[in-house]
Amino acid sequence: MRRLTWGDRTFHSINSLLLGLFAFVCAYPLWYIFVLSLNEGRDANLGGIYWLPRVFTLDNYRVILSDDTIINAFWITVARTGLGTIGSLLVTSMVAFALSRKELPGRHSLLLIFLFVMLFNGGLIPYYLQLVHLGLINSFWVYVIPGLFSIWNMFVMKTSFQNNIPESVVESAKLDGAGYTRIYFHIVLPFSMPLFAALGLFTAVGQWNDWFTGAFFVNDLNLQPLPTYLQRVMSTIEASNMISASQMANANSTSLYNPDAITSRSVRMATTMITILPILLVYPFVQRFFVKGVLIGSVKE
Amino acid sequence: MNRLSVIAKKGYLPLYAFVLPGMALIVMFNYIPMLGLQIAFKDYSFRDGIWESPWIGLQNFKEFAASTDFWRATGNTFLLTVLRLLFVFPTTILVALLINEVSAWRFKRFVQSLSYLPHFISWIVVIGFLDAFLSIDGGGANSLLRSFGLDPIAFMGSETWFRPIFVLSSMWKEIGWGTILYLAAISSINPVYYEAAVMDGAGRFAQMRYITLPNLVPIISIVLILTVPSLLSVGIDQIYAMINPANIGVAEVIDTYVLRLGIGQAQYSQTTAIGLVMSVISTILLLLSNTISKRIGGDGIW
Repeated sequence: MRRLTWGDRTFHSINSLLLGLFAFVCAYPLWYIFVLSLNEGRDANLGGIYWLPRVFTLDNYRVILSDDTIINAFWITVARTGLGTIGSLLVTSMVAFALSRKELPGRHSLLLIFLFVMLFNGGLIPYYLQLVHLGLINSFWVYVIPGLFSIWNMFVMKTSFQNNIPESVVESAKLDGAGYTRIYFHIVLPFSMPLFAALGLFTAVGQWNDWFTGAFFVNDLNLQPLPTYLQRVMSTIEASNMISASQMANANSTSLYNPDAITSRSVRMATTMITILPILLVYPFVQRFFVKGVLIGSVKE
Repeated sequence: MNRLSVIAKKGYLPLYAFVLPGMALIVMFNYIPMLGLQIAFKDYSFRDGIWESPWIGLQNFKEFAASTDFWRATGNTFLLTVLRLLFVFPTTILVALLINEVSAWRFKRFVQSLSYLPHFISWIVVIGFLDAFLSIDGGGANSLLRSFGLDPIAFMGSETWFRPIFVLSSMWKEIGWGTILYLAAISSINPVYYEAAVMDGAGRFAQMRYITLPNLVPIISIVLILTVPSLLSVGIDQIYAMINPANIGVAEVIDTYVLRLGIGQAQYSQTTAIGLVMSVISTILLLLSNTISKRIGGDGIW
């Protein structure tokens, strides 16, 4: 090994400093939200809070957790994420498995039909009109059904099945009299669990974070998911006062909460924390699947 | 009949059954909406429906082409996507190079873990943070300005600050995640090159400049080419959360314009016409970039 030169050491220190700063910048916004959510709202409006709460309170969370709209939104999000993710993995992988079998008659034409969808789309408005036509507007199922099949994941899975499932295993299963259904459930699914974990996590995050569907295809406030709720109270200036006037009135009148503690912003920050908490909690454990997923996705036939 | 019985005998039927749900979904949510594109040439009304509404030729296209709002949105779209590309793309490569130089693996892990995190945070949350951090009453940024004796700035309601905020928030969200591809490519470079370079007395910078970077050229060009189709679309999540009456002049992009006019004001025909033009252009760009990417030896999108 060569000894570290002075230049190398300087480079290393500066590099570490830069990357440390970079990592800090990546994490700080979340910390800032966390701190504000634990600080009295009125006090936070005076400014000067960066690192720790100045006047600590849990009232913002108390308000949220006593608010049926947000609790309901939370469960809607859980339900759509669960159903949407499992359903999508199942439907998408079934198509991928069928199209990965080169002996399937008509495979080429089927592939073309699916491929074309990647190339061209009808755009937002015809899609919207179709949702209206199907009666999916203002229905919980608009969160789940259109997402049950993912063309991108299908091609990733198909490639992975073709490359990673040994043909000899499939052949010997066939000789033992197994049909394709059994091969799919007993060979393909168990073999592909790491792939499913990675793609499933991406799908789940997408479902969890999606506010668009709730904002434009659903009017019923009882059906809105958490991110849509957040978007409604954040995106426009008028909405900033909307953080349920009722919530605040409620909070003040029952005098359960210190009225100074709660402003629209402090409640918003607490709601934001509730929205990202599940992601933050599972993130450290599933990170490696994400990275694997991105690399699987970038490797094509 | 004969062929069908062969298919049944060979046990292919379950495979067709497997394709069926996915096929039904793309017919419902992709192919039927494509048929719906005809209303770009019609005067659509809910009462008459897609098929019965009267044809009006190119009227819708003429209308949006004559609208200054449309051209403003088009200009903003290109400006923002180009700005984003200019700032995000090179910085991502730079950060990947820097991360690669870290030899303490714990620190490297730590930096990588934190840098991937923003990718999983919804835009709504990002903009929520900005809204709080940049606000006039108590936001961290303005507290800082005040402590230097400067006047507070209404960042989120300002045309001047919209583009910097847009670019910086894009960088925050996507740089870390973008490094994964480059780091994977770097790790597949044969270490022999580096050993040889060290023998020749090459320092860190020389190795980066003459070995790492040249080896990344293929993946860099492929990523660049495959990014071209995305120049048409900013990503509605990000803009929609940031747009407000004060910054709409620079923030309105084609996607938000279509949304506002289409779903907001029920101008279905005109916005479908805009959508059709965008779809056709993006298909052409996709085909082109895919072909070029394959020709220079990379993977296409398919």
